[in-house]
Amino acid sequence: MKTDKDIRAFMHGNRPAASGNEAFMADFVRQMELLPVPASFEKAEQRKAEADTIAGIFEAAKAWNRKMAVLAAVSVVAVSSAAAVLFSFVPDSWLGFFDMLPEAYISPVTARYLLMGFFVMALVVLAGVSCRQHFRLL
Amino acid sequence: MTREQFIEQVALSQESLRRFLCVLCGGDSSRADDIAQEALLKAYLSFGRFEGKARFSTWLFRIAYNCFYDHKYKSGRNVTEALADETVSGRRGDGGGAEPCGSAYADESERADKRFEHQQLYMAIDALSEHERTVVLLFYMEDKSINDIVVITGMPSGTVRSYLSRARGHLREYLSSLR
Repeated sequence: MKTDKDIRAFMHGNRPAASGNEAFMADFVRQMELLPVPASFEKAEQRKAEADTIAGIFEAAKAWNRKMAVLAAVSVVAVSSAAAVLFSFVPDSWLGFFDMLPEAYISPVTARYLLMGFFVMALVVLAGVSCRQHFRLL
Repeated sequence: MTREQFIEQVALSQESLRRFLCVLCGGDSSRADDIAQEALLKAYLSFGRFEGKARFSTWLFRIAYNCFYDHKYKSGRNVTEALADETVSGRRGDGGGAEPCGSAYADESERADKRFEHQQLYMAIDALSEHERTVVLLFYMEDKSINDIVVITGMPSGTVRSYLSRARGHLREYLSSLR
């Protein structure tokens, strides 16, 4: 008894091959180009063009934002580093500041490390804030 | 879908569509290609009506199947008209139109050659009715599901199953007789 599988195998084994696929498609495209573009395709192409424009604007805004974020981060690092270096090289200023605090004595070394730590923290926070906009858009 | 995507989709389906039409046309591949071209152009022009309920290839098959029937109806009418013309000219006694031209002989011979290449297939489906043949070709040759066949032919599901069952019985007998 022949099964469905046998029938399918027979049909697949004996079916004709459609030759000239490329020529057929070329002929079809040529005939298609002679006809006016149907409205449904025009709409689809218009929608695609609009989507491409929006994507382009979004990409440009993202690139601009990325550039600005990097610039802000670099500025923050530069300004903070300059301030830290300046503060480290002028010990009198911060020693005088700590002497003014009531009943508080911090050794100059500890004070130096505390200030450096503060600068590092400030650096991280400011860099994070400046990059926030960029990451939000990604 | 854009025009380019439409062309890509057509390129994916055209081979099986042309093969199906070729067998329906009894091995006449040039006629099958003409019908396929017409069907694809119709699909292109009426793409706005494609709702996406069925697969794109199924939709193309449906249009092609309708085109095939339109052609069949038209050619049937043309043959009748030609016969009527022959009868009229025969009555007039001018003797024209009785001999087929050389190209018609060449076409017939080419068609016969093509048919001979896949003789087994044509012999197997020869005894089937037009509808049974369509259902069998779609189900076994093009691996379409019953639902797809319902969409393509516009027949109710029960009718498709019934045609398929009858055709299956016939094909089983035919295949058993081969060995």
